[in-house]
Amino acid sequence: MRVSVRRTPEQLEPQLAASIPQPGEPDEEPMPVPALDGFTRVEAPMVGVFYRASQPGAPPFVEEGETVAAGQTLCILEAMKLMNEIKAESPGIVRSIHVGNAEPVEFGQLLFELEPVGPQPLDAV
Amino acid sequence: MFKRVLVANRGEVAVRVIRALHENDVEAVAVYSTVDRDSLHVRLADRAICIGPPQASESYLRIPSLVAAATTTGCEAVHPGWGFLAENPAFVEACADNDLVFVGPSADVMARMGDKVQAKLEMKAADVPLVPGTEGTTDLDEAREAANEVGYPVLLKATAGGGGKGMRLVRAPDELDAAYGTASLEAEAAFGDGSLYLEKAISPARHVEIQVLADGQGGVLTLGERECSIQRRHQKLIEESPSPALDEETREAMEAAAERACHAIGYRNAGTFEFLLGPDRSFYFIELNTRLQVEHPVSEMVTGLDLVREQLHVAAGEPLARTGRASRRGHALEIRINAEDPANDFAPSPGRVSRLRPPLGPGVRLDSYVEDGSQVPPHYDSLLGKLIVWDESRPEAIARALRALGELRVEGVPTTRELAIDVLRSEEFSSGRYSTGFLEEAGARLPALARS
Repeated sequence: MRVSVRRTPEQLEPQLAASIPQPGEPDEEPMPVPALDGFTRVEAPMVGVFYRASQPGAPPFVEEGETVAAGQTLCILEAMKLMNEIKAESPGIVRSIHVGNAEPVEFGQLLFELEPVGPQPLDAV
Repeated sequence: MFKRVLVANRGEVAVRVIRALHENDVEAVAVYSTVDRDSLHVRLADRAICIGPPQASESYLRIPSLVAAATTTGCEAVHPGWGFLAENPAFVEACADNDLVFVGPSADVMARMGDKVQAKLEMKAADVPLVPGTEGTTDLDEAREAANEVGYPVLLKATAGGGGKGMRLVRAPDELDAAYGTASLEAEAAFGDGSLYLEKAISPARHVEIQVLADGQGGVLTLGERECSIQRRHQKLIEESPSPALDEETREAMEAAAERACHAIGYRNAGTFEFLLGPDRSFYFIELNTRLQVEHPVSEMVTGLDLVREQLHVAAGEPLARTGRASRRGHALEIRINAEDPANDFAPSPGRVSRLRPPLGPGVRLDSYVEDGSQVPPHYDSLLGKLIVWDESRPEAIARALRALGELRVEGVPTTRELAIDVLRSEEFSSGRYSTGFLEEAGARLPALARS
């Protein structure tokens, strides 16, 4: 038997997942806030293996310097042969990618830093 | 033996398992939720993986995260501890699907023993005594006949039910008709099904359990009993071995029954057969816990065996070095220290332990994850740790436990320490004549309970 979890796209939004309040928690986790440089941190919402492309040989979902739209897939985290797509919560420019392809990541690990861009449609990209 | 094992748990049991791994030269990989980042098990392990936020459903209970933590760190096996996923057959299967050895029984045996009806069927087939009664739904005439056969008092219970609804204690034949009527009506109202069955009421009952180890290759070792009748709201507070209620003949009958059942069901690894013990020393199977138990150190102290080490050897495919009855010596007591508030009806009271002074000296063991400054998070159970003492005789062990509890200081959160002292000093405990109803009956006679 294989155990699988089905996650809704909303649950996969890393910023959202990290910002669910923990009532009564004595030791509040810091909320993901833009760093001093104004970049948004995208952190792993689960344990898994980080993949930059949908399959071996395919082009990466994103490259540094690329502008991404809200909801665009940034990477895949694989846990128990289940592929979980990690998406950008808001539009931005990928300023850094912190994990190498096929490397394991833990919950909360920094994956990407995005430089926020305005909410205008990104049809110029 | 394995090279690297994932410890799929937190707190005290994670520390316990890491200790056994290190003594056997096995690397330990810990997992933790964000609120446990600074917990002792994280720092004792060779490596630690953050698996999620504080809620257990998103961290310690998330099977994919635990399996991924094990596979990405190169673990060969997973020790589940107790609680969380320790008795979840889906987790056992997920481990197998990912080429991880689960330190415990097979998923199949675990699932069968987790189903109370199925477990009782298999125990009956193995000639393990069950509480006498009707095999299923019974009408009033059949109930009267069955009650005469098993003897009063009897319990009427709702077939569809649980939680005391539709349940009646019947002390004598002239109470049966009325009790049957009201219990059936209550069951109908609560579950939409008024059918009842009947069981002999075991009263006063003691909770006595048998620890076993089985290697899955035909070898079974029984490690004697643990007496667990000091309970508060079905939570064990103090355990001891040997039980003051057992004679040699009954003990051997219970161990033989557990041994027989292990062979019959194909059991492997550590397990505990829970029994009710009646005042006439008759005993009845309740359930089989297919995992390591909180009170396992009591058996370790009297047998000199390390149960976690044995679990690892069995999981690695090795046969047990000894089978039959483990030899024992002396008397062991375990006192659970919970972060609970006596002034607030023993509600769990999480917080920060500002200072811990552990008791030391001869014959004392403290299994705990708490240090000065430790956080006791509100998300998990309130067990801070267990004080275990060993001595040559029962009176000496009680005196040693009282001495150790006197040394123990926990500052920052209220604990059950004072209640344990009251129990150990009570006439009932020192005489050994107590049952599962003791704490309820003793009530205000115990200073710690009178204050609550």
